[in-house]
Parts: sequence; structure tokens; C-alpha cells
Amino acid sequence: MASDKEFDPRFDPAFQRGFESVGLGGSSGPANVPPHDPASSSLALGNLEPGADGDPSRLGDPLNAAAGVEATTPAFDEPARASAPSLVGNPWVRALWILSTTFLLTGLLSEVWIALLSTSNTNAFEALVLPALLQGLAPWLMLTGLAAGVGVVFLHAVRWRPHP
Amino acid sequence: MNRAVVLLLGAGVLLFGIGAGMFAFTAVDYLSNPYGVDSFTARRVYRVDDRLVSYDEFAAGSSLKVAGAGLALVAGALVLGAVTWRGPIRGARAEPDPTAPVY
Repeated sequence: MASDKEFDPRFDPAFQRGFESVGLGGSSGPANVPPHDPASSSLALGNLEPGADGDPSRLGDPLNAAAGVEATTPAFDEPARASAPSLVGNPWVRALWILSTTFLLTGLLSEVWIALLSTSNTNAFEALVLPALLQGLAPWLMLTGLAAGVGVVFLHAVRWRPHP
Repeated sequence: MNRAVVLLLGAGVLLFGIGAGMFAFTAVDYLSNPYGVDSFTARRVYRVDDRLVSYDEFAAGSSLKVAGAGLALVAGALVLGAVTWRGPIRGARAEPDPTAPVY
């Protein structure tokens, strides 16, 4: 039954589940409904009631409500955003992009070059030493380039700010 | 510049240099000590200075792993530098303005 339900005093009972049955002839009647406290509800729902000055023109004004909530409760993510500088002009990011691209391209070209070198054995260095060098370095180059690229994209994502 | 970034960058460059040096030493030692041509071995034969020599398969050892670790450290130092970068130094002026009024 609706009479067993308790209404949250912070909000208007008219907008809570079970209020209709209570109001439309429930056995216990609306006597169980606690009085609505606009002061407690103004913080949760925004300033939907007339303000303290009683100005009815501000009734249900979402902009004023948002401003009121913002004035009383500080935005928790603003300090973090303010302390993290933008990446615009960051020379390390530029260096990371260059390093990532260079390493990835060098690693890929090394793999191709290994295949070409194995078909031509003109001298011992090109046939034995150079393929070993490229085969040993190419995985490191590609992995490091990939990691640097992922890192710089991750950094951009973390420091991303919406345009005002 | 952040001290950790400098340390990481220096360690990366140092490791890469050590690895490259180890590889160069191994390669020079390998190329300067060829085997003679032998019909009973399966070595490949090359012509060096108008004489035929043969070589075993080249093994770089751990030198390339050291060099690769150095590359990874350099990339890590760049990431750390990008994260810890706080922008240009504010309030630093190279020259005082000579046209500024003196009070």
C-alpha cells in the first residue's frame, strides 16, 4: 500500500511514487505525507521554488538554479583542469610525434630491407651482419615508436579541454 | 628541465651508445676473423680482398637488446618530459624596457 511508503522530505511528495493513491482515497489519507521542505529541495532540484525575495519571475529558471548550485558547491574538477597546462607549444609532444613516426617507419623499412638483403649476398657484411642488426633492432623500433605514439595520444586525451 | 627527465634521457642515450658500441665491436671482431674455405663445412663463402673466406652465422648477442632498451628509455624520457612540462617560464624578461617611465 501507498500508506506504508515513506516520502523523502527533501522533495515534493507530489512527484514521488505512491502520492496519487494516497491523495485519491488511500486508507491513511494524506496525513502520512510529511510536509515538503523547499529549503532542502532547492539544492537537490535546483531553484524551482520562488526565491528568497519572493520574485515569482525566477520560478523554475534553470539558469538561475544552476548558478545557485554552482555558487554553493564548488566544481570539483576545476582545480585539476586549471593545474594541468595545455599541450599547445609543448616541445616534448612535438619531439614525441617525430620520434614515434621515425621509429615506426624505420622499423617497418628495416623489415622490408631484411627481406631484400636476404636475396642478395654481395659481401659478408650485407649478407650476415646487416640483417642481424636490422632483425635485432626492428622490433625495438616498432614497439618503442608504437608506445610513444600511444603515449602522446593518451596525453592529448587526458589534457583535452572542450572549446568554450 | 625536470631532473628525472634528464636522468632518463641520459640513461637512454648511454644505454644506446653502449649497445651500439658492443655491436660494433662484435661485428668488427667477427668480420676480421674469417674462416678459410673448407669443403666439409656448410659455411657460406665470400670474396674479401680477392681471396675466398667463409663465416659462421653472425650472432649479435645482447648488444642489440641493450641498444633497444636505450631507445625505450629515450622514448620514456620524452613522455615524462611532456607530462611534467609546465609551459614557458612566466615573468622572465630578457631586457628591461628603456622607454619605460622611471618613478
